Amino acid sequence: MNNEREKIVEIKGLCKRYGKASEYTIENINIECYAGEIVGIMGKNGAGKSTTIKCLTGYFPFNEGEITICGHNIKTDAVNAKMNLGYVPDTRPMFDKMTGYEYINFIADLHDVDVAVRQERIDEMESKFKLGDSIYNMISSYSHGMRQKICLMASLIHRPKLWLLDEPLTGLDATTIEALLKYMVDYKNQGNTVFFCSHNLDVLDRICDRVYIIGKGRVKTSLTMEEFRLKYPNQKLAQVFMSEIED
Amino acid sequence: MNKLLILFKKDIKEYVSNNFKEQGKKKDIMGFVSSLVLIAFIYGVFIYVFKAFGEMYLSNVYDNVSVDTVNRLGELLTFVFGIILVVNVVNGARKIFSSISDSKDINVLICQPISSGVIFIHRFIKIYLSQVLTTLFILLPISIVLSVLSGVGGAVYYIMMLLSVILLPAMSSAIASLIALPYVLFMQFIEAKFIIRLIGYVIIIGLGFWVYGLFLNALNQILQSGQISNFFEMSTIYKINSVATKLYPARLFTNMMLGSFGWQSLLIALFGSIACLVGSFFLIRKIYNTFIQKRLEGFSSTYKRKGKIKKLNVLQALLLKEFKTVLRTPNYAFQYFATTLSLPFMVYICTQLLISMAKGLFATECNYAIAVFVVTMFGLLTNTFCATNVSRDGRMYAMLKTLPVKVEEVIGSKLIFSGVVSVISVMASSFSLLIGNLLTFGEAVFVFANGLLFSFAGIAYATKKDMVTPCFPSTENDEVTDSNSNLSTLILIGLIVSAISGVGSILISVVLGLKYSTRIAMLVSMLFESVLTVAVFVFAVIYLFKGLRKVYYERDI
Repeated sequence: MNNEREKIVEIKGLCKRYGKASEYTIENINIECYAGEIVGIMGKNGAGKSTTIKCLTGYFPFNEGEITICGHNIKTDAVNAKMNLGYVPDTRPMFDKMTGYEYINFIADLHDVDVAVRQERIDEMESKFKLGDSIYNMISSYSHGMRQKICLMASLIHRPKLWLLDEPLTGLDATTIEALLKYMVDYKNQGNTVFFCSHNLDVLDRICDRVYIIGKGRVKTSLTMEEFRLKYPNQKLAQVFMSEIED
Repeated sequence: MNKLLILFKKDIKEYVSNNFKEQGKKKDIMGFVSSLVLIAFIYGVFIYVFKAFGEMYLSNVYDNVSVDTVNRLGELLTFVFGIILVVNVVNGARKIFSSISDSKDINVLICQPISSGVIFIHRFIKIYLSQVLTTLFILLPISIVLSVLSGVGGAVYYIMMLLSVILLPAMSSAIASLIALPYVLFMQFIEAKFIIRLIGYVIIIGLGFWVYGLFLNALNQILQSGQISNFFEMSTIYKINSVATKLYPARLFTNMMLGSFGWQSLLIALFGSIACLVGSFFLIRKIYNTFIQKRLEGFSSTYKRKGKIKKLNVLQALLLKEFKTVLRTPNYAFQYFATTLSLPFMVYICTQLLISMAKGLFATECNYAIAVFVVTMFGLLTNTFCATNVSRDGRMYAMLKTLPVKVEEVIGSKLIFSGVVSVISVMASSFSLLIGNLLTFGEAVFVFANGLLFSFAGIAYATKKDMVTPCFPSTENDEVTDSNSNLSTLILIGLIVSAISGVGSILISVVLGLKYSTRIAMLVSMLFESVLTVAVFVFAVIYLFKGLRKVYYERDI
């Protein structure tokens, strides 16, 4: 079935070590994501989730393997690959001397989004994330949650085929979490891919179409939620995760 | 007391860890050695110049009238104490402000069971100790030199000098903490008023250079006309004496050392320092916590902007980002715009001064060579701003790698942004020399082209150096203010290149000018200068582009 759908992400044999370390932090990672699905990645702290995501975005260099986004190689065709990527990092870095509105527009400029279109999208996202007039304040004055909202809005301003989120729920209030989860599902239904990592296993259980469990820098398990429910009837993702990790 | 000790232990551990234990951190040995050599050189020159001036000032004969050496000694000491006091107060106020606004550990400490009073005392003691050291560093050689020259000395003289080293910083730190209060309030008021702040900077820099220009012009005239002897007329000496005897609290320390009302002065200085300390402690303790919390809250929370948005291409967007970052960050704005404003002024004044001095020294004219030397030196040294071109972006520098921009666009925007300042300031410098009749039109054009290429080379080198060894701020709100290896390397290379360029040109001009003609000397000098400039420029460009993509994409940050 997957073969009929557009492949958005392909990670083949990804290996990464930091600096002159003798061992790989992640080794032989293989991941595929298709249009119209939400893919979750989970693992303990230090398992290699964020490293994998950072390699996928071009943030980190990697030693071996190949990564493509919408068919564009992240190393050799980086600009085209990144035109299809919207990334929400776990640390929420931004240019703090810009206002939230200026930052979103800066990202829109880098992705060549027309002014009229971007205003429409900002208004639409604003109605969901509800920043209000604070969007015109300087980012350095923002709370953690406000920074997160601006990061989310900026990552979507160009409507990327791949929406990549690293721990997106951290620092958000309950209402915004619900709005974000709904937004992720809606975004997937528009034919895009949502790829995210989280420690909130209930959320992964609830919205993911497929999950990858990573442990000690390797993919331990990869399965669709349909396969999961057939293989582990009456079990929660959290239980399987714990047993896989213990193995 | 226990918590105070814990804070000092933390400082020592951090210092040891940062300087001796950190794995994989490249040591800035070149920066350390060059700084040490530079400091030793400046210190030596300072002592030598002070000794020469002291000899002249303490000589007993003015206008053929014999005067009292102890009085002259008292005047000198009073002005020395006065200058140290003013410098300590200004520096202390700046440090107290930065301990509130920039300190990296405040957000951790504020959540711990440590009172704001203890945090402030910890900061205050650090500032006080650093002032004790600098005061000792300056006062010790001065006291020895003056004692040797005047014959005044002995145990009391040196004991009182040491007591002054302890008391003067106490007084200056306390005054500084009182001044810091309105300073912090003012900075808070203008924090988000970027344009007003920029106008303020322009006015301050303009005034500073106007005064500096007046001073240099006066110095130039005195040297040229030989009127320096007027300085040592008895009427001038009486005026100096009259000011020095009333210059309190600096005079108190002089009295202590020279023994005139020595013990009374010591008591007044002691009680004065204690009063200042107690007053500042109670006042600052009351407001310190509020200010720290305000700082953590973000001073700039009041800034709001609903500007009209235009679509920009990638390079324009990156350039606008650079402009906003610099305009809205006080330190960066000051450095960036000070560069533009200060260079033409410095160049004009220094070239004028050197040309008039050279007229007396050499029998031939070498205006052009001197202009080249001055423009090259200041052009390269004012590019130190570019040593943080990459680090200023902080963690967003790495985030840009996840966005659809090429490294050439990221770095290109930084080069263009810095280059604009260079073009304006070097052009204004050359123009000022042309208008001031120090250069002909042709010479000014050459000086402009030459200075610009050197500046571009400096920008390219500094930017790449910062890419290779960036010095990112540790928190989002921090600014890159630390001096780092990139900065020291840039200064050292700037000094060496400008020395080769300037001294080479001047030598060629003088030697060939005397042997052949001024025209031939100028042509050869221009040829030498062109070859050197092009070589430096080509080297910098090769250094910039060599492995640029690798440094950008294949580097863990």
